[in-house]
Amino acid sequence: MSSLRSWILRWLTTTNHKDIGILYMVTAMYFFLVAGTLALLFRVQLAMPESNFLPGKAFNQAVTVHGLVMLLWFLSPIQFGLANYFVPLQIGARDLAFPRLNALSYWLYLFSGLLLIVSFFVPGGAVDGGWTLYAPLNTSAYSPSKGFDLAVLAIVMLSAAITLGTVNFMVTIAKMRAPGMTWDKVPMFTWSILFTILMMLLAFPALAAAGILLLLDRLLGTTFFLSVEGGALLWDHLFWFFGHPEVYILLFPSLGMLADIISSFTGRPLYAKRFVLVAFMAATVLSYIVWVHHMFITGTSLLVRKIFSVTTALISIPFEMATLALILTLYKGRIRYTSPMLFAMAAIPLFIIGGATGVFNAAIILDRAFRGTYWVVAHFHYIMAGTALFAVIAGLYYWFPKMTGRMLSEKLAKIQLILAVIGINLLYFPQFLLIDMPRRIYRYDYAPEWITLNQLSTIGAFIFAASFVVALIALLHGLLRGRPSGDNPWGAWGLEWLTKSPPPPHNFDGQPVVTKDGRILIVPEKTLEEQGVDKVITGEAKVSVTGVMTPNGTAGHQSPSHAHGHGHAHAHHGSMAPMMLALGMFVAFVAMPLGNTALMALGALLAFASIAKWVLDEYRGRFSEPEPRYREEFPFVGIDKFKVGLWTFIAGEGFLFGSLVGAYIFIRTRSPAWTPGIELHDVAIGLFNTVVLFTAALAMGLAYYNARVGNVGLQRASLAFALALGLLFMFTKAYEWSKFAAEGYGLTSTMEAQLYYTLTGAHAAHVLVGVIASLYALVRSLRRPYGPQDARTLLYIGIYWGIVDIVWTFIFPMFYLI
Amino acid sequence: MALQITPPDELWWLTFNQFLIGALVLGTFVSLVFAYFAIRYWEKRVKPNEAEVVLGPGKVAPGTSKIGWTRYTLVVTGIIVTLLILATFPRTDYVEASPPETDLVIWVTAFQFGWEFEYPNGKKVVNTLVLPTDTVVEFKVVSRDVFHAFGIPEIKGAKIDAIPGILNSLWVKTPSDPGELNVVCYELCGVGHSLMVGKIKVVSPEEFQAFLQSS
Repeated sequence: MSSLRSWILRWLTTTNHKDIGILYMVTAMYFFLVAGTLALLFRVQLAMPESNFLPGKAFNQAVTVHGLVMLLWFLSPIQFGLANYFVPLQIGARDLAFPRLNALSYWLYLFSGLLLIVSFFVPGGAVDGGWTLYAPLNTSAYSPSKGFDLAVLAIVMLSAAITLGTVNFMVTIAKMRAPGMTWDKVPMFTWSILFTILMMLLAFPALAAAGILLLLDRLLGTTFFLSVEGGALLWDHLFWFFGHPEVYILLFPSLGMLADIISSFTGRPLYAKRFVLVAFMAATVLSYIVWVHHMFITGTSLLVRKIFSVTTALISIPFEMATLALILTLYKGRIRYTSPMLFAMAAIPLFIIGGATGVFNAAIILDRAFRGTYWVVAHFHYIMAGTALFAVIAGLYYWFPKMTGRMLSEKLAKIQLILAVIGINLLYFPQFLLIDMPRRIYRYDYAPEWITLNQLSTIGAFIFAASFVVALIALLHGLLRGRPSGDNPWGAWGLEWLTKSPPPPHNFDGQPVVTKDGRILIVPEKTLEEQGVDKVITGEAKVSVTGVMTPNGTAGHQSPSHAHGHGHAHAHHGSMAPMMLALGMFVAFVAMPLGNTALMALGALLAFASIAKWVLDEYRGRFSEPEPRYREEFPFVGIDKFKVGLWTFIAGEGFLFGSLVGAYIFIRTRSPAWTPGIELHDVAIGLFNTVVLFTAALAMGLAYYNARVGNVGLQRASLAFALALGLLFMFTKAYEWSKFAAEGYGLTSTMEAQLYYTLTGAHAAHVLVGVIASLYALVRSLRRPYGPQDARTLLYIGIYWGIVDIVWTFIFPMFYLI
Repeated sequence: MALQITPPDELWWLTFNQFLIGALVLGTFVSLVFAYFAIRYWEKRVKPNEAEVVLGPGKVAPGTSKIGWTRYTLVVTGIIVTLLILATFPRTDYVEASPPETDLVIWVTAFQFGWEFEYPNGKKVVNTLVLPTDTVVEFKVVSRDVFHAFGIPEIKGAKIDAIPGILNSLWVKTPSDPGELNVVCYELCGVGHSLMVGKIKVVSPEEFQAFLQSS
């Protein structure tokens, strides 16, 4: 019994990247089963359009939840499960940069998904507005269901999880690569994750902003998406600014996996890797300027549409390049058709079909017929359920032996592959021919000629589903009965294959070093000290080569000092706080639309207690440990990991505010009349608060300076001053708000008021975080003054205050002057 | 009656066929290269001296920058794709602008869950529209409540969003033979979305005039 308890406790408190990777994958598979079952249900209805198997609202719920879960709670998370497990291994790191933050990302992801599942059981039932949640159908005027509220809360919660994840991966990839692992040598999967998080960092804040505005509409009665000034098009712009990069967010990790797997089983490096990286970078940038192609028939100006039509055509070129590079990697290789390779190869023709049909959609004139039809469904399912999912299966099968130490059955995998290839083509090819059939309808009495094609598609769906039943059997069989794999059963290249299967908690028995000519050495820390890292990299130093293994070999080397030290360090790393924080948010969010204040308070209390516990752990330095040596390279030389993390986070915050400011500009330009801020608001109060806020940042700067020079008294005084100013700002704001409310200028009074309260409210929430951080710094300073060695904490809080100030310099003129 | 006007759906098919030929030619070429390599370099077929295996256990793949003849393929496909898009622009202009000559303007108001049509003489009908054959019709489309999309599945490219607060327009040329068309909502608009189906009865001009004058 106690072993079961400790087993459960381990999974609830783990902060190890490999454990969290497994949690992600298992959870994502659960959501896949949910969303896949929903798909089968509505495919049955579509094969029998006269029937009432799944009519009306239930049908709409099924297609909506299927789409949301597959994209946001299955495909991306399973890719990030693999990334959690293998990015640190591929680059020779011991963990992700911020393990507890990583755990928090996972728990927020899990509970946000459960929020969506729970929504089936609340009054009104689950969300039914289509995964794109178009306005104004998404407002409570048209969709009063409580489940809809829960879905939007789930999306906002997931956005938070993803933003934390981006920070973590950014810092890990930028700062924690093994010595010698130059950018050039970073494996494609890790590269693809880097590009993916760059897109996530900018795209998800737009989704979060849209979600927050929608929640205000639904719960507090604003009219951002109901009014003519905002309305349908405001949602369209915010949603698709997220939505299009999201497509590449789902695709990139899969292309990265394909590249690494195909290299492994041909023995050839990815063809023209540097050009592919340039192509990825180009696609990342272009992905932000194609979103209007989802709005070709909304009545946008023709010139704008033409520009977006060209950018959309251009974005196909990087992907053509990637496809050609994958194909040319086969050239002069020795192709070994193992199960991962077979799935990887099957992904390529699917990508050619899905990609070629994508070019059609770029033409405005053609899109008029495609939009809202099964042509589009077929196109993106060839990419998502085809390329992206096949690559994920290839990735799972490729790395399964590493994660479990066991082999999967090749025979079952081949049966699965045959079923999957037949299934997916029978499922989606007929949908290209259903070019006139609208999406998301459950009856089509007026077009009996669509029935046969739909029935073929449904048969395909069941064959495709059968392939996943085989996959599930294969995974369970492999897990329980698979033959031992050894450490490198595929004879694969890369760092992850130079450690045990499954890897020890600290990943490598020694420090991995990549030499200039691309050999990987696992060097004992002592040797590294004696010989010097640089000489090991250039190959001048004589090191006893360890860790290089033959196919099916075993990792022979064991560095006692390291295995011991890190093994212990990891044993203490568990923390309940991330799980409790996410659970608290879950409870509060479930209670919010239901209006259950007691439950809401309980959830909030749990969340705040978890944050307090977290801060306390930090304060006591419970998790501090020495950093292993890592590779420093442009553009991150001399910048420590907290700074990289902070700036990454700030970039995300910038896009959140950018999206809100974008909403302001959109609404204002479409409003017939707008009172200039100077006539509406008290400029004196605004100016006063501006001075207060800027002085607070200055005070933090002074605190940092005094910590550096060791003046404890002034350090404490500056911190107290900063804290007082932060509080003063909050009180002035509260005074201002209550005065306005008393004058009848409440939240829902005018469009301008809605924007004013929303933007200044979002800003005030950030000031509150600054106040809490300053309070923490002050308490810490009174107990243990900051010295030169840890003054950077104050610098980071100062940078944060500075950013809060910069946001204010936009908000102040927007509402108080012009 | 404007018989000389090219109907938008004719241009749609022309454009679609051009894209289809482009996609089939390029797609087939790339697929053949892929299939050839996949078989040619299979370990059971490839001769030992033909394979140049450079990656293996204990190594990291280098950043290769050779690009060889792919650059030409890229330039060629890039040019083809861009030209295909640019070539559609004159047609797009034609289809998107108001029709060269309009015979009839119909105001369409989408609502949950149906269609209201209004003729120039003020006559209003719900869900069943009567139109004359061989006529250029411009639809002025608005929505009374949520986001809908007005579309006629039988006429390619005859689709435009119906959004509250926004006036969109679309023109078509009705078929030359009498018959029946459907009006379908192409954007999920609520529980009755699937049933939001209207009819267009295409009749002879004489019958149409008679219908228009009836009360």
